[in-house]
Amino acid sequence: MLAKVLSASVIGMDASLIDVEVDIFLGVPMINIVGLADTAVKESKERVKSGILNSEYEFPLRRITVNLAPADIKKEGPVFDLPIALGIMAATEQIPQDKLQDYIVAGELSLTGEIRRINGALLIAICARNLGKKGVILPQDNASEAAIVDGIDVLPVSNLNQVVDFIKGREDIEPKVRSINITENGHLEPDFSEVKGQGYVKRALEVASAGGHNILLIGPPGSGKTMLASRLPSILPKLTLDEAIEVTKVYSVAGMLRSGESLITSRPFREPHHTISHAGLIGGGSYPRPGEVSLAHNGVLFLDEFPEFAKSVLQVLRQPLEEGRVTISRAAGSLTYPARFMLVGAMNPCPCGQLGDRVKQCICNPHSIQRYRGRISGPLLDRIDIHVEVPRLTKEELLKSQEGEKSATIKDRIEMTRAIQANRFNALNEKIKQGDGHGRSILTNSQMKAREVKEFCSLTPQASSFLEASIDKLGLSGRAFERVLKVARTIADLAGQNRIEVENIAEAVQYRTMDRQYF
Amino acid sequence: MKDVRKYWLGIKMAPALRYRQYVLAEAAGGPCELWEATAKELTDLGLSANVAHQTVAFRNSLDLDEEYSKLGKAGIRIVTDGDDEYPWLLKQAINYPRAILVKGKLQGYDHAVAIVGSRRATALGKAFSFEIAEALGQEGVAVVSGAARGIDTAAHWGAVEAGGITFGILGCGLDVIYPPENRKLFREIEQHGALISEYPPGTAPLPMNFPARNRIVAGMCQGIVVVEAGERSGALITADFALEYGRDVFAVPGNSKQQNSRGANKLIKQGAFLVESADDILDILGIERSTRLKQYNLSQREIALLDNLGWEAKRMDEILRDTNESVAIVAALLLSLEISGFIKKDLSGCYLRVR
Repeated sequence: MLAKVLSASVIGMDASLIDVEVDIFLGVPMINIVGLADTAVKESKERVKSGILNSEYEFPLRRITVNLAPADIKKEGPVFDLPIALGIMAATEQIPQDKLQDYIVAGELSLTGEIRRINGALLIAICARNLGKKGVILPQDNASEAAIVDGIDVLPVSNLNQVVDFIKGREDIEPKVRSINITENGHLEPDFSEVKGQGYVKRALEVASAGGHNILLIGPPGSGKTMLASRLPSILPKLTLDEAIEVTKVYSVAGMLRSGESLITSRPFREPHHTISHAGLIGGGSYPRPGEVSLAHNGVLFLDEFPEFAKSVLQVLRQPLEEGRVTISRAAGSLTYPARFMLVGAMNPCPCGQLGDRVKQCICNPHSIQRYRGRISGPLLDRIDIHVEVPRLTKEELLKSQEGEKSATIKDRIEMTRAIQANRFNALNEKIKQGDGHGRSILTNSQMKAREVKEFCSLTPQASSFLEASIDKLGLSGRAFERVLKVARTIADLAGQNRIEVENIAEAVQYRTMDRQYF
Repeated sequence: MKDVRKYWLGIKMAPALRYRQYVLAEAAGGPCELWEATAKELTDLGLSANVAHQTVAFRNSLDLDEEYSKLGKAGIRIVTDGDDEYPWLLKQAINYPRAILVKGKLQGYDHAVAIVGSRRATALGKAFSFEIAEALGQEGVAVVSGAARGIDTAAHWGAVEAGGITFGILGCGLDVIYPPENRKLFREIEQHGALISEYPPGTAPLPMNFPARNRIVAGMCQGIVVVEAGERSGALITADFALEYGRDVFAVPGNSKQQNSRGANKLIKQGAFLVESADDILDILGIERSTRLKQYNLSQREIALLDNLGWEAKRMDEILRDTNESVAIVAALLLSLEISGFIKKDLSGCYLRVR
């Protein structure tokens, strides 16, 4: 007899419906799974068999063919264990089929018949809603994330018996209720007030966060670069619900949500090691997974020891930095993952790391320092608006400094500045929306292109001649010009000014450490 | 009349002739004679038979005309002691080089002072070097130095900044940029004076070239200023040459506990003039000071910040702490001071007052 169960497969950032068809007929007892399935799917027959038997149901000693349709989509992972098991039981008339058609089913079986968590449950739930299904049957551990989706019943199940009882109508399963609370668990997060001194660096980080500018921290080991960077999420504006869902989707696909976690409410902070590969950074693999840039979506990507990353790995950062997404092309097709993040790089000032230190002597010569800094290519440096030195504090300074501002205070200022920017780009974004839809919307000053810079960053004649003089005198490269203007715009916004003043330009120029000349 | 310059180039390029070039040339009766000498004549001059044959072989394998025209194309010329433009001060030194390679112009000054010191200089030392050189440059005194890292580089920049004349004496070929980060400085020196070397193009900056280079530094000036020098610094070798040539030696005193000040302090103990500013040098050398002093238009706040900065290199956060001003204001003041040349920023991100 033939049975059909609905399931879904996650490809990129979408899930598509998969029909799991099970046919049982006379022949040598065996299971055959067809339909472009990977090893994890093929192995499911063993789990399904034990799962059914250990739940004290009957497993047919016949020839079983399982077809995963459509057959041209690659299927991966153990999500089809549960639908295959249900399909076999329906085909042997141990359970009725009609009720199954209203639900999308996914879950991994253990040999005991327990149901384990899967990846991408949120996307599967979204797929069910888009198809107008009544609900989804998902592992207990995944129910919280899937419950974010409105308008469908998310039925959490923990073992095969429970599912069977539900389908037979012997028992009801309480749908998981959506629980979203974007609360601030402020005292748990690291706070800026814990960092002593470093007022200048904190200011630079504030400017960077306010305008969404990428930033490069240059300082000796132990000066607190990592400490400062890890506190960035605490001053970034709160995630909006839409942003939070986007982030949660990525983490759902990557299988990185904690059990029972519903929505990711704090901005991600990702800190990959410098030995990371291309695929690890931007995503990929034969069954593509989101990389670190996507896991840092709407958050912070922190690259410590920036010049130590392989040159080619840093080069692949250019697309996401430019477009806010990554496209992974394979022979089988191409996928797009979101990747709009704030890049924070950290590096030593010189190969030995001691340059500018008050206690230890640097042993590098100026040429090797320039070579070391040259490892960060021009085009990449081009996309980092702010460079700032992080000095190592002496013991006295550490003891003497008072506690700094709380993150919450800084965050208030940043949210205000973001509102000013949203206002500025509103009309523009409307126009883009009405246009052909290929335009990109602008949320922060850092995303401005040459045209917008010209429109929104007009200078007083005074400021303009000051900028010219400083570019001339400091030997700033041409690419610095536009960067300085954007950062100056953000600084003016932070001060609530309409016009860009000389001071704003001056501060922005001070943040161009890497492409100026030195004494 | 044969062009002796071409033969000097040949002699400088020949490995066996190079090290005793001036003695040999004199003994042979001139550079042309030395270059065209037969193996027999060379042995008569005191070379071993083996070396003489090697030299003849080298001469036959070298296309001297070709090399000489390449030199011209690179903008390098050879100046001999017979030329008018040959530095008159240098000619009065014992062991002066009979021919030097020059890129730039050698004339246009009445006085010259050398500024030398450690390659591993402190920020303060570099600032001092810069300040003296700038003041000397403004008075039309040529600043001579070795174009090495640290004190030398700061001295050249000071002279360049003042629009004065400066000579960089190299211990390598004029086409070799050493230290490599000084590429831009070398261009500036060529425009504000000249790069000078005793060595043919392509010569690497070998350690043994530098003491010989130092004798030219000492020979080209009326006095030398040692800004920062360790106990065994090359700057002390230069000072020795200066004494030998009868030139004045000046030294800038340093902190007695610092390695880097030992050399300069030792010179003072031995009787060198103690220097606190460019005025001291000008007074002792008897150079008239021009009345035109540069007028600076600094705002009250800029002056206050300069006072606050003092002569120590300071980091941005230290300046912020000491001034109690906002980042925006301090950034603006620092930048405008930097544009008007009062402060500089070094590789480590420290700000440094230079005048």
